[in-house]
Amino acid sequence: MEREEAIRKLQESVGEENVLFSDVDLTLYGYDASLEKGRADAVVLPGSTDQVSLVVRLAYQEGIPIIARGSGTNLSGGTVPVRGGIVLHFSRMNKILEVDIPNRTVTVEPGVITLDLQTMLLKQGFLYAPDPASQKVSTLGGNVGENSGGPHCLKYGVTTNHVLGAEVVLYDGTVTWIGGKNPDNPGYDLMGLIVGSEGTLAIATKIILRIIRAPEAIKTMLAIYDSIEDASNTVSAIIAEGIVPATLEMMDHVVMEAVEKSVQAGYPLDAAAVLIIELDGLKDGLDRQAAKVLEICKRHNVREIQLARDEAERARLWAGRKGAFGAVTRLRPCYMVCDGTVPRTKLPEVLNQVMEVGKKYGLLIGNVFHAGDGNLHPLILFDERDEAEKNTAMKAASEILKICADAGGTISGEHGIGIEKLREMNFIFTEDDLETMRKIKRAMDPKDVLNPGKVIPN
Amino acid sequence: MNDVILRELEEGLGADNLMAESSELSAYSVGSVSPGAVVFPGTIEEVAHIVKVAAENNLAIVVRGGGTKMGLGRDPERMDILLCTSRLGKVTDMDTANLTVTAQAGMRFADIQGALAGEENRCYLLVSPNGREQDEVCFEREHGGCFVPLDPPFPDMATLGGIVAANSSGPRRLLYGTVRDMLLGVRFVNAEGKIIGVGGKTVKNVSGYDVSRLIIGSMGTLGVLCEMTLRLLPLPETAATTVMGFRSLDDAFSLVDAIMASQLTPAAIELFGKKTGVRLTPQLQEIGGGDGCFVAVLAEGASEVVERIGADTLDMGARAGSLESVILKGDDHLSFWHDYYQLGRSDHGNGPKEIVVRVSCPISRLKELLGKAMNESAALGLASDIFAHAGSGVGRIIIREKEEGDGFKERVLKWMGRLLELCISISGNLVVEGAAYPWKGELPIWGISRPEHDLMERIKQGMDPAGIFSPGRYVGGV
Repeated sequence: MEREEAIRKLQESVGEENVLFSDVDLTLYGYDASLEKGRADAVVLPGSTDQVSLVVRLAYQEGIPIIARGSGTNLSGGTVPVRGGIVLHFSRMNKILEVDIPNRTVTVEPGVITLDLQTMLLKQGFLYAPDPASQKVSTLGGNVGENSGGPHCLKYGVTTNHVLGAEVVLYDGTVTWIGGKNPDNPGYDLMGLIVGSEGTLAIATKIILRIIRAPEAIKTMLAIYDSIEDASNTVSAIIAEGIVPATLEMMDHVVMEAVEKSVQAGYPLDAAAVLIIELDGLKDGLDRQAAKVLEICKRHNVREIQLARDEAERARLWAGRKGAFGAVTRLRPCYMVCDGTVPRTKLPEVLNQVMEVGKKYGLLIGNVFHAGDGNLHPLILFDERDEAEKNTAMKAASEILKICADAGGTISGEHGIGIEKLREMNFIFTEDDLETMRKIKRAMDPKDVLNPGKVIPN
Repeated sequence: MNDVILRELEEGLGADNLMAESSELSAYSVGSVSPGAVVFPGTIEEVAHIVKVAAENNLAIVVRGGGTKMGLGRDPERMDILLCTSRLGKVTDMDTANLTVTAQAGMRFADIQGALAGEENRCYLLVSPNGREQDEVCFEREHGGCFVPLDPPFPDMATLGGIVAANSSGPRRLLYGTVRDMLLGVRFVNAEGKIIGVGGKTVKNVSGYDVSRLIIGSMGTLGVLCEMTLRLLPLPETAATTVMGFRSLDDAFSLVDAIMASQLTPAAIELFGKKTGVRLTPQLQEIGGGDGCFVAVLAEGASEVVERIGADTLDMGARAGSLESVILKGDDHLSFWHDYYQLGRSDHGNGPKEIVVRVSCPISRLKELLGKAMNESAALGLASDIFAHAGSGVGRIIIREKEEGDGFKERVLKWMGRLLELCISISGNLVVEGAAYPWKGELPIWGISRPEHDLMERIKQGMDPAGIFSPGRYVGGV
């Protein structure tokens, strides 16, 4: 089919104003938060499941790639149209369809912004727990596609632990429901398979999420250290003592310095690392637990501990962490974030090796990460306009992922494989393992129209 | 089974680990189907060898762990080989400092929990500024054990592989979740006899498709599950159970609703019938009325939390009209749960036969589902009992008759038909977990057909095209 004819058909399906194909539009939808770039043939803004189905059916019949996309905060190139095709942008499908408190669920369209849902729920005393740092702009559809994590996943689990069901559009435009409010249907866990499949197996058009009661009490602490080893040892010690905090986040001095310049969160500039430790639950016993944490910090040579006395102070302690990725661009124009994850006790060793990689290539690396679950985020800082430096940064990133894999970890904890980490998949999988995934892909998308070229190397 | 194949199997396993005498095989039947051979592999490589032989000869394989779920599902269409995991019983990696354990499929659940609880080494290595681990491990902390935060039925018998394959869960799913929240990685043997590894040891992992989750609840139809890595939690400081008796299901559910509406974080809220309750809690005997039922609220965690949940539950219970209550601690608490995990066990041998049905529905519809199911059974003259994970929307209904009586089968079929309709009307579902009757095949074993069934067939076709794994046993004949 000619491009013009395809565009006309798309216009018929979703309305003329909802098909974009100007040069500017195609450039804008050609990239995400990663370094990768591509170019779509058209951008479609569907308004309903039926429209999604029509577009997917057309794509299937004509063999056109179709890439579902939310706000484009993806960090691994998952939403980049590398083979052209149609970008399905869900900004118009952004309604919270139902809040069902008795059944502890909400039903949303994929374009709902994560934080919008969370803010609405909190007013009623409920939480949707996964809190990716990009929650202000990221969409729930994107979170489902990527199986997003976040600081509070240490205690509450990642996105997949909170997705109960979805209405999905399959490769040929068929609409079906998977899972639902019933907690225990027999059959394969297809929902579990689709969450985190980066839009390569199905496209969610309605999502049922689990919600939980907001905790009665929260205690947030900021612990400041003169050595990164002491901070790392504290992380392991807290868990060893039988405490599972809601979050355990770490930042090193490179990131702290950038953050202080940008949001003035009150971090000392001469410290080596800070930990944000948050405990939550019933108010009973929480003071005793906090005292125990303080004692553990002291035992590991903490310099200073700040305890948030109210919500405003809590917000201040968190502001630095949430703004960290943005803040580092004050140091250099671009960063590449590695998302390698290791067993928690390997953290100090792996952090040291990461810094060695930085020294070896002469690159500045900052660390801001989910220490509690071993999810590193070394930020390799560079300037994209310097082609040589960019290539060095990519080489360093790959080396860091190898270090994580060799330490018994994995190459992506929460950002996904996309196209950025395709080459590194063989660090952790054998060809037979990858073939298993290809079998699944072929079973669910035989003509390879759903986000082709992503997740599994050919 | 022909001698050539048997010799091939024997070559990889040794004669001691292969059973092919028909006199011995009948003990390993699944429903009315007897295997052609029973194999006892001791390593993953041996499993791979068996599957390779099976694949080459188009032989069907059914897997057996502790045998607690052999009554689940339809009789297999074919069962040339029954693969027993009893020799795959090792813990391969106990990493309590990272809160993970990796163990083989045949390990009994209670044994894993026992090993973890006694593990005095939830230890971490201190790291010095040069990044080297110091020789001396930390020594100054109070050590405690860990546990896998799952509590499937029959923990003394059920194996890890069976629990994952059948997606077993228990009362504490309310606080901790189910297998899908605990499983971090698996190694299984695929239909070509290749060893496949997915997932890993980290809680966060989005590298490639989440094949581990696909394996959960797949009932041995996608591969032979050999080894799995699970998340652990530190053992709670203390635990206690508040048990209360109520006049009616309505009263009992008003306590359940009150707890669910509060900020309390109990590990479990169980609701069970009078017959069960009287047996489990001899401390409570005064409860009156035929419709009486019990609620048990389990609290785990810091001592202050356990105290608070116990106290608040008593208050809420009183407001809901409880007739009696008792807080179980220490040995009483342990023995209550020990017995509770044996409920619904239908392989008593000489005891009365039972039909065990697991029902599930959106949380708020459970009261209606259980109430109507019991009324229907009474109207048909069938004695029934219930126990339910009341805060999770999951329950079990047991039909237990000493004498089958006139038209027993017809009455059961009628009841099951009504139960199925009821489930459809409230977006619920059911699974017949046990029914050792020759007419079991007439029951809706896997409940209501689901819209995603077609996708399930596609996945099965993609991963096991020749259909060698448990053919016909699972949902819709998969």
